[in-house]
Amino acid sequence: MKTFLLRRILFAIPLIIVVTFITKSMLVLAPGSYLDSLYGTPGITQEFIQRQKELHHLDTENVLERYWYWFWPAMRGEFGYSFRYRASVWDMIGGRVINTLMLTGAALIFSWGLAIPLGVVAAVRRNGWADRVCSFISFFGLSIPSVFFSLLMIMFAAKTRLFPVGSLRSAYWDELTAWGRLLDLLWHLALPALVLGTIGLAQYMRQMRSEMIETLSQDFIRTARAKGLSQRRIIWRHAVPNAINPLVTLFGFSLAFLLAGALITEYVFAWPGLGTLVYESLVNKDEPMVMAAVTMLVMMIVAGNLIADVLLALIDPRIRLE
Amino acid sequence: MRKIIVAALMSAMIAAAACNTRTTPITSGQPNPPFIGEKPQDAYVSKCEPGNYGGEMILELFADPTTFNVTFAVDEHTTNLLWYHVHRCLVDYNNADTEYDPGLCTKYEVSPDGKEWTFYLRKGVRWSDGEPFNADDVIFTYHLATDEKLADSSIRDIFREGRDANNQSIYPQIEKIDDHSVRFRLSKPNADFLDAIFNLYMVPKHKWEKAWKDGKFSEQMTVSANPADVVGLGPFRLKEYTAGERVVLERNPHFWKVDSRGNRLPYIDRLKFIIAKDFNTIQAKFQAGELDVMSRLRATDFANIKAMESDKIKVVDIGATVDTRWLILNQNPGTDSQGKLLVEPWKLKLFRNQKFRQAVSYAINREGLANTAFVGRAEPLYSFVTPADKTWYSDDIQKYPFNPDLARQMFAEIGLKDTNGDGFLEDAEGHTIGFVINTNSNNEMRVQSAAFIAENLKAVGIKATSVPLPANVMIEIITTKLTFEAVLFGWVGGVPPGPSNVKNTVLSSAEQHVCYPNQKTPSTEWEARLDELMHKVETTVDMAERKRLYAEVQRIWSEQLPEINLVCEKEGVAYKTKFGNIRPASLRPRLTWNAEEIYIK
Repeated sequence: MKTFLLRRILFAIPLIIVVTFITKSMLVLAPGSYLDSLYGTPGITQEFIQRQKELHHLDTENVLERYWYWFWPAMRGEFGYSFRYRASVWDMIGGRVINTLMLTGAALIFSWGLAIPLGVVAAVRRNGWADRVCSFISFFGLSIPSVFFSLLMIMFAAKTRLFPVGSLRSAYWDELTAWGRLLDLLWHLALPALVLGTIGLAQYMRQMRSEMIETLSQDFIRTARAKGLSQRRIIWRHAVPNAINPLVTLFGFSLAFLLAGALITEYVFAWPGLGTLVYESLVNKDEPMVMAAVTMLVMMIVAGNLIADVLLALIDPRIRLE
Repeated sequence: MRKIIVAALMSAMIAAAACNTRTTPITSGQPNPPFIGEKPQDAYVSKCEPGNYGGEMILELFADPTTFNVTFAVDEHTTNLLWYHVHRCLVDYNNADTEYDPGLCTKYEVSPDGKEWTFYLRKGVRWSDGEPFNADDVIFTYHLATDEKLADSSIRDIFREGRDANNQSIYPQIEKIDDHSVRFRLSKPNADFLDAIFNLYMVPKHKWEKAWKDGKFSEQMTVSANPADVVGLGPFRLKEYTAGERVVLERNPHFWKVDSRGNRLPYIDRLKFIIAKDFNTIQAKFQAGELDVMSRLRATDFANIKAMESDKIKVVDIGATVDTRWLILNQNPGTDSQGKLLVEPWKLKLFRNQKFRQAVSYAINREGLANTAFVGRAEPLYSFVTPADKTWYSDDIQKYPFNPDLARQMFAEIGLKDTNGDGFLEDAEGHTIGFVINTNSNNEMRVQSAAFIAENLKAVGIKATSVPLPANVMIEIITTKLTFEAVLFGWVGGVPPGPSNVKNTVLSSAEQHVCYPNQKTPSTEWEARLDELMHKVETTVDMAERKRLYAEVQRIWSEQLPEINLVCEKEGVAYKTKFGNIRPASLRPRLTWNAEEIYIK
């Protein structure tokens, strides 16, 4: 197990180098730079833009040179200052990571928390009305585009006032008690987590259902029934642990994409998360920010995959990690 | 059974806690935070309607601020936040009446030759941290602004009067007359010196002199800095910034204005800016009552928001803005780095022909454009100055009402005929007359406008095609590559509008004179005349004479068409009627330029 873990962690290093190099090349080769957004602003002259270019090493188009300007300080732990905000990139990212984790964490709980039970119910009562309702939810979740769903929810919130229109907290947050703040947060979390979790819910529920159906047709289930075990015991103590194997891997991937997947939802719901920060940095070509974000995301994905493999080994005694 | 009891207890607890969620009521009638210290000796007396204290206003902010250091603030969202609200200059500007206001000064004087400007500061004014404000701060701010070592500042480019023989910059001299008066000495007369002063936002000497001398000023007041460090002279000061979410400004307890009853301003306790990037989200928030104002109603959204007007919500059409939209034909006879001409010779000949440009202008249906791409929320524009610039706009310009027959006639007069019957004109050498119009693809209205104009031109025999490009690429071809044929773009007007803010598009040597930028000497007579007139406008002191000269600039511009101006967009604002003293203006900030006077009824 130890050598396995070590090998996987060491493998991350060349991976990060390759991915960041490709990212940097694309940033350099794409036309324009961060300074283009200043063009046409009253009061900004070409001289100012030239000074900025020299300051941030944007005057060279050589990919290797530009990569080196990033790589060498990064090796020492200095990921630099955002072009746009002049603040340390980790300061900017750190504040947002928690917000995104909250959102994707809630979506994770929502999707997994419902997917497993609903998948089981759908499999056990196959072709019954419960199965049909779950199928409908699945198809809905899989086919609706997330932009449209987010906008729909925003409109719903605006019209009915049952939920707030986006944002993380209310304008009167300062005047709330601790309890009030927690409730306010949950109230704001409800719709975006719903939108984000629906797709996951759809996928995992279908997966769970088909795994359960297959498992329930196995011989050992028939044996258990013949032995007189109750239906509930059979399902939850024997069938589900066997059926859940592939889903554990999927769960690991879900963890990997905790920070990466929420861009559209965050944008529409004005959720102050990492997705909008990275998107803006990309659009504005804020290179230090993009590079730091990419590095972090690669590490997250490696970690997530690692957790997925380890979880699987822990749950399934047949699998051995070397 | 046990599970049911536990669930019931939990719900009861939650319900009980939820009832007691508020600690303080929202408005209290007393200023919170309260004012500190005595009224300034020379407090500015506002002529606004007196109001009551308390409450807050919730506004929208389209992007996170990029810095809290006003000396380095360049992008529009940061300046919209800091200018007027947190920081002030030596003089104020009244956006609604488009005129300067003495503000921090009791008065200012200009010498008859226009070279000496003296500002007399109010006595008793204090910074937002309580320290006194005086002439030393003005001198410090000026030295900071003209410091060539500060790479991130662009203010010195505005003050630079020229360069001497050693290519060193020449700036106006500043001298301290006494603790409350300063004088600027210019090397040449500049009637618009106030426009430069209006970029010099005051920064406290007592707080930042040491950091500046140590070369560490650039690291101060970034977005992750302590809000208490952001010290200014505006009616509000920074209370809190939560990245991606909101910026909260609270009352500056030392602010130097009072109302006609002697009560100190500002009335409102807090300005809360909610950061939201998607326009649909902002609209939904306003509809749900989460935002108190909407300061930007685009053409396509105005009708929707207008439908929401009621006794609680007011929607105002502020009319034309100072932003322009134009089509430019590339008149640049230069070559690229390999020696190849930027524009094909036969096309260049046509673009440099005034009659051709005028014919193109007649061929464009500006009313149609306003009604389609801008759903009626725009009006035709024939020069670089819009009617929103009430001081400087001249109507004595050549106009081009839609006249495709006249356009065809003019094309025939320069020798363009449809010789092969394909519906498009050809020149004497047989080239089919056509060109590519580029615009930036991320702006829906521009893409539609380009397509519309291409259709207009096809109808008179010009094979025009519209090719939208990503914004980065667009800017590259306008500034560096210069290989475009025609571009459709626009300028955002500066505040205040006027000759000083258009120098970098009108002058032939300017980098934003897009039809042929950075000329060493003017390539045409009319460009030489424009340069000469602009110089005269800048150095003449008599206002009536300046207006006459500037009107001539606009006339020449409209006749020669270095930019074929198309339309100027109309904008709108919306706000809740509970606010008093709101005076909407087309210059930004639209609703809060007089934030100190706003109150809740």
